[in-house]
Amino acid sequence: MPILSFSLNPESLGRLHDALVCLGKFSESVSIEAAHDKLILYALNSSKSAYACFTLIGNRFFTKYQYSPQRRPKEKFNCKIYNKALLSVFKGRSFDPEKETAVERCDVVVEDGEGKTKSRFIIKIICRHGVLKTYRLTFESIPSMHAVFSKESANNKWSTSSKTLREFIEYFGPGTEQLDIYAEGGRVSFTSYTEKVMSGNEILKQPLHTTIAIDIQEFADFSAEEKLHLVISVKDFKSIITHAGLTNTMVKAMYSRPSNPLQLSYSDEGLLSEFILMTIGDARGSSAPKAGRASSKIISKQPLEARSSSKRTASVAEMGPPSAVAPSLSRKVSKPSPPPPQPSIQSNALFFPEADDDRRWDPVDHEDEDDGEMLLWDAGVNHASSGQRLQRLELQSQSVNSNSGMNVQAARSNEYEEVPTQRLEPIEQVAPTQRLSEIRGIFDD
Amino acid sequence: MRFKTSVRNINTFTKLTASLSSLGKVAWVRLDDDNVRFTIIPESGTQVWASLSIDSIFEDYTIQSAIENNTINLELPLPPLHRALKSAFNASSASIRLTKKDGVPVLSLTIITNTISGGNNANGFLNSANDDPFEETFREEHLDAGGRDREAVVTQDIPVRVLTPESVEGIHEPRVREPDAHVLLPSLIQLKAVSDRFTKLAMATGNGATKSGAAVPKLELRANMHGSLKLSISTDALNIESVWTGLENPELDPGQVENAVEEHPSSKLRAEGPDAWSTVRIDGRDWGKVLSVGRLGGRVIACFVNEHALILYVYLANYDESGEESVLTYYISSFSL
Repeated sequence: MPILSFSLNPESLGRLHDALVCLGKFSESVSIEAAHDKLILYALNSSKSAYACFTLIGNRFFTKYQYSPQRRPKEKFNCKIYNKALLSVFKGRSFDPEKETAVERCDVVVEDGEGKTKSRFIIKIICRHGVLKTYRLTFESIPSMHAVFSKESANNKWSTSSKTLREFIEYFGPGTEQLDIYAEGGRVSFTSYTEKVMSGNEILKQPLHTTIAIDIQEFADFSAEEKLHLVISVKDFKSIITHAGLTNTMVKAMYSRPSNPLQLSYSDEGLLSEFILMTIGDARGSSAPKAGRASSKIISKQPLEARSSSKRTASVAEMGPPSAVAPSLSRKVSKPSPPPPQPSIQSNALFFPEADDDRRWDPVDHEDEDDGEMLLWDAGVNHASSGQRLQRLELQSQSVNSNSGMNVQAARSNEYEEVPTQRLEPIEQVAPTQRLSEIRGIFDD
Repeated sequence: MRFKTSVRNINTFTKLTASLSSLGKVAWVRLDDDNVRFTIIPESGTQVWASLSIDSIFEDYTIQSAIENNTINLELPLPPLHRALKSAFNASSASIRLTKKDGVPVLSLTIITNTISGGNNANGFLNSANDDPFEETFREEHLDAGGRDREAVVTQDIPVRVLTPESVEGIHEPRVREPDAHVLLPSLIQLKAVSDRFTKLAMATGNGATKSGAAVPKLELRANMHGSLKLSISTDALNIESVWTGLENPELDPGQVENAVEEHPSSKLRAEGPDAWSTVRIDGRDWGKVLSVGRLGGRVIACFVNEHALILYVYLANYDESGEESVLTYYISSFSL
């Protein structure tokens, strides 16, 4: 008896792939949480400054969705899969029904057995002409862990069309790190910049400093405090908007103050997307006095944890009461800072709708022609900035019931099996349990 | 020191920067009352000296400096400039000014652009959002159905260095002896396709060391004064050649040559008949970068200095008849055998 089974039509499969691509920009593994009415895919970046979450509504996103908890009816199933393995299953699949190799349906079954059955995430892709492709992936059982966002204190809100934002991110050149969102005098500006100071000849290597200013009227809805510099990672913003821009939807932003998280959310036909990004404390001379900021930081920590259960209902809907609320910011402060960010790789694609294809004039690159096939992969370690460090997001983890989630067979790493709950919190401490080579082996069995 | 102008022709300026940036990352830009010059001198490869009439790319041009003729010399990175101009593709207007941001001189490109209007947003999302946990946050949409113009002001700051006149004094355009042959080149896209193909074939059939780049066979380019151009490449394994005929050898302007026209080397080559050729050998990859200037669509005259250099003059169409000509000059050295 599978614990979880669902079916996707080709269109949903394409959207699932888009979501996985987006999650892949945050972390190399994707966490999956199944409940009776929805499936949640989420990822937290390694510096814990960005959290991406997609909620797939059971009866709207899927053609069939069935979750059968093994023990208690309200119990959830949590696991983690190497995202590259999932992506390679869906990559290059034609979702276009006209094509000869088109996918007709995708069935996924998750078995989490004890003893007899193997714990596997089994994906069956049914193509035209009766071709059936079966992939068996291993997964790792994990405790549920979601970033916390307090909607009550987020008194600043705006929303605008995803297509408009999609257009904006095209203006940002490569090499910048931060994005400053600022409103003043009825205008809102998005500024992409870097904090690196260059001198002499190096100055010419400074990346483009881009500001986009628009009237508040251009927002569908804008009720936010003015003169507040909200600074996030431009790379995260691009990853999100690249996904949001695939559909014509409304992106809603909610936040309270600098140094507190920003939530971006949008929804589309049974798929809810939510991102929580840590914002950088205002180094540009904020309207908030320094003392005020410091105290608001302290305030923000304790109440966030204390009120976690009430927030859980708000942001992580309908999760059962936690048996432990694990990580706190203060415990991680002493950790070494992550390496400085690398400039993100820019794609010029989609930029330039040209009538006469100006690119044919570009010199031919005779040297690297073989690289086109590679899956682009972000290591996900470069989220904090050099100058100002992004703080980590507040996390909320649900400890796994002694037997349920921690399936011994499911976990590849022996070390992992014995880890008590407290040691599970920093995800990056757990060694990767699946290598691509291992996964290929699994395809064969 | 002041410099401020509107960009008259964003498309041409973008194509110009695309062509220039394929040859070098940094340009010396000289702006003055009369024209705009871009000079690229890469460490190796082809030099470009471009002189454009102000009207061909700018309008409402204001320049002011303490130097004669209101000259301003800038060192300008081309990729960011190109990137910035590309973002002006759909702009309704664009202007450039020299300014300082945080103590750093920048060329600030201000683009007024119309963003996607909200008119077509209404359908398609949140039709029945009853089980939607974000429900209350999404219900508030009220986009204008009219789709009026939504204007965004985009500012792109390109870092520059302002150069002193002394520092650029020593930079001179190369001096080359009178050419032996000059010919109006055929369609550059055709020439580029053939050249790229030849280079690729030669690399594929080469002796394996080609990937490192050092041992790439050279393209041989030859012209006579009877309307022919030959392009060839040879390796141990192959020998290919393409010939164009019926091309124009423009008449020399007697006012432009030092001695009598009959004394000019090209007149001598013409007298020697159609089998007399002037030859240069050039690097195929560098040549491919040079030919990217074809996107500007100008007339190109190639001047051959036998076994020494190839000089291309790219004449751009002028904005109006009266104005000064815009010419890009490419200096390509010939490799010896």
